[in-house]
Amino acid sequence: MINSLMQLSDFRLLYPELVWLEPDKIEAAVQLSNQVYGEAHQWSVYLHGLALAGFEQWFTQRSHDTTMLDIRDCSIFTPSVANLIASVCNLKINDFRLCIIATESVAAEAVSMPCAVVDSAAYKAHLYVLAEVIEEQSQVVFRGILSQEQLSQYKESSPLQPTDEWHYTLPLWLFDQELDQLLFYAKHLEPADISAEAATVKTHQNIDLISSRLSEAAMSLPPSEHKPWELLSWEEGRTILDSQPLTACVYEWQAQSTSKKSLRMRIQEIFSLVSQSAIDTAQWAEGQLSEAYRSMGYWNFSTLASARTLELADNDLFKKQLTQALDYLRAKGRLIPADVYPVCKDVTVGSECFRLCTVVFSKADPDEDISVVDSSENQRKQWFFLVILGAVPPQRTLHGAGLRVSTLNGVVKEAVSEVNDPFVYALIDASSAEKVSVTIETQSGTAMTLPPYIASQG
Amino acid sequence: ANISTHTPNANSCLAVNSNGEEKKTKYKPISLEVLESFNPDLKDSQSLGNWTYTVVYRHRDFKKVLSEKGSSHLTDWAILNRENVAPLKQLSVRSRHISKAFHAVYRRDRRQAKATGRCPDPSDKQLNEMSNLLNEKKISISPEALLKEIENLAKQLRRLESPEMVPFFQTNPETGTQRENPDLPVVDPTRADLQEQCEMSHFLRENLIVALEQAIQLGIKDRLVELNNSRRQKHAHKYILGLRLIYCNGLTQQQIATDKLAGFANKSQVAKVLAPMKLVSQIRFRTIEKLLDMILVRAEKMGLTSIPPQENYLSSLVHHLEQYVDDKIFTNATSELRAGGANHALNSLYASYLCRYLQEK
Repeated sequence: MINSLMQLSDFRLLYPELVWLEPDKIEAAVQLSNQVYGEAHQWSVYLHGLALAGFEQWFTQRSHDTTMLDIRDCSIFTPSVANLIASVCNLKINDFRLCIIATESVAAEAVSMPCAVVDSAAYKAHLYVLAEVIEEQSQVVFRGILSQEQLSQYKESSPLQPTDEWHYTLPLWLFDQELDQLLFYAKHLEPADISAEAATVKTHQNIDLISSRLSEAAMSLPPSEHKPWELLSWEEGRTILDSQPLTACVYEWQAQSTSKKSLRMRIQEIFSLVSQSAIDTAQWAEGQLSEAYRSMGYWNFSTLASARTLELADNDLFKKQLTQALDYLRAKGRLIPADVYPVCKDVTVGSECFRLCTVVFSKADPDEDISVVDSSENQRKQWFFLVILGAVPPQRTLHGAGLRVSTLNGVVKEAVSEVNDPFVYALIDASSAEKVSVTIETQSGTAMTLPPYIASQG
Repeated sequence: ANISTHTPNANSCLAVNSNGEEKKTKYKPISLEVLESFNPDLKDSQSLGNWTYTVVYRHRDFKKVLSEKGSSHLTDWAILNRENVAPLKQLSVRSRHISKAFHAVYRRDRRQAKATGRCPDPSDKQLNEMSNLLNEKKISISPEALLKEIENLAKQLRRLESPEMVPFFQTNPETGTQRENPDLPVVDPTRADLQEQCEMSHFLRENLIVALEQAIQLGIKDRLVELNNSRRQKHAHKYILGLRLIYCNGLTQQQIATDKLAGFANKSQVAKVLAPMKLVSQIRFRTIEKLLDMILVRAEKMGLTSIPPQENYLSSLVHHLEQYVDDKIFTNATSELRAGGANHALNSLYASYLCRYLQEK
């Protein structure tokens, strides 16, 4: 620990890199802190906002080339991320990624860093800056920098253990280079590739744990009063932070803008969309169903005949019901072509059985300029999914079950059956080539999310 | 060079100046203080390095310098506001609850009010709210008693900040013998290629002044750009003149403030506009930057490095440059400013080149 003094030049001992903050910068930091939950975390984000302002000030003093510094992608400006990581990540000087760690005191000779800035590819940095924020005096003192290379060397000799709050504790002496060094790095070195993940995370198991822990916690206290790092281990935290939709989902949970029920479903949906490969439905529109999908339990009417999955009588009945459903929808004004090839799958959710039918069809884009001579491949098609949820014959109603169609951005359509409804449906535009997931939910609350669909633009 | 020796007379030293004349002086270098008070024979004695740290850290003058820089000048409330990671674990459960209540009310209010500057005493309203929060946690305490406990807690937190000491000798629990503590930090031996070092030193010596002169020009320009973009821009035109008064005419900031021709309202304005230490820091940066550019080109020619260089090579090169320029120029440039007060012209190498440049403007 005496090293930390010995490594600093006499100059830096006597004249540390100190910045006085202007009042308007302080206000900006307060705004940032108000977007996260929990007073202690708000204070931490506030300090980091001050540190960022101080850094910008230092930078303009040293180098007037303000184009070099890019703060637009800083993690602190994304509330859902700042809610989980107080540090300022993704600050850029040319191609170098920086991370600012703020502390209020260096007397303990230790620095607390979020695990995310060490382990997650999205939040790692080439250079870490330690800023001591003396809040009462509106001052920021830059204590030193640490490079990724040095951090890696240290980790090899002293493997890091996360604290209870998703942090690692590092010795102060690691940050032994002057802040000016940053500018020399940016000028003379090429940034190394740091995008490699440290270790793979057990996403599947973590997803279940995460959704059940968060749901349970919400029963004792409102989510906004919980701290995710007190409910989940760092491994689980990492699963969340490695996925932007999951990070946003947790933030919504804290904002209490999703119901407790929806949270579980939403997490399952995101997991399905993110980790499962999507079913390519383009061929379904032409009545083709590959062996691979048939082995997953999907069937259409031509295959049905050969596989004899259903009793003949039930098959006819169901076909009749489906045709009636389609006619009903057409009568209601839905532009469904005459020739369609529904693909069905029988699904058991909880103790109830359902049949999900997906009709995929395309239309030439009506806005396309027809006078332009174009080969059929280049003509833009609009793709649609029509998803129909029905009961398995001889059952006649759905008993209040419902459908939910979502993408990573959120729920697209929801449809819940009423007392005597024989089916519910959702018709969505799938042209954006996004993965789309379908969830079936029974009235009692059991839900199942199916593998996602995608309509390829081929 | 001055050489000091300690005489048995307390509080005074003999000094020998470069003419070999003896003189008595009241000034006792801290290195002497450290050496004469160090006792390596004590059980659990600390290493000399750590002892130095202790003496320096607790020295009255050092504390004064630090407190001028604002380090330990924090109010109790600022101490309590701070995120307490390690120290908090050493506190009682009751103290931790009090700290949390304090944060929930006082810190929240400070942020919401976007308050800056000295932390005021907590108001009665705030103390009441804290007291209520603590009641919910089954800690009943009146607002008046709470204030006292909070003050004590702040004192406790200040004490907990003392750096830990590493003992010099460690007793081996099995054999009972003493041995030097292997955890003591060691200075890494530098792997010096003597030839390389020699050539580098030569190169640096040859190019130091050139780099300094360019750095002075750039540094002043940097400061002027900064001034012109700040709320002090209407004083930017006094910058060169003001610096000249310091570095060529040997005026103190106080004297400049009273000089009608200089045109400054008061000493504070002189300090904020001229900010000579800031200029030293910027010129130092530009000097190192320039030397680094030159050295890398040369090192590549000599086959010592690739371009771009390895990270380790670059960072040890910069470290070496920092030490070199501080040794030759900037330590003196800094200390003469700090000693400023007496009416004497600044005569370091830095001062003379800066003055020369300013006179030509």
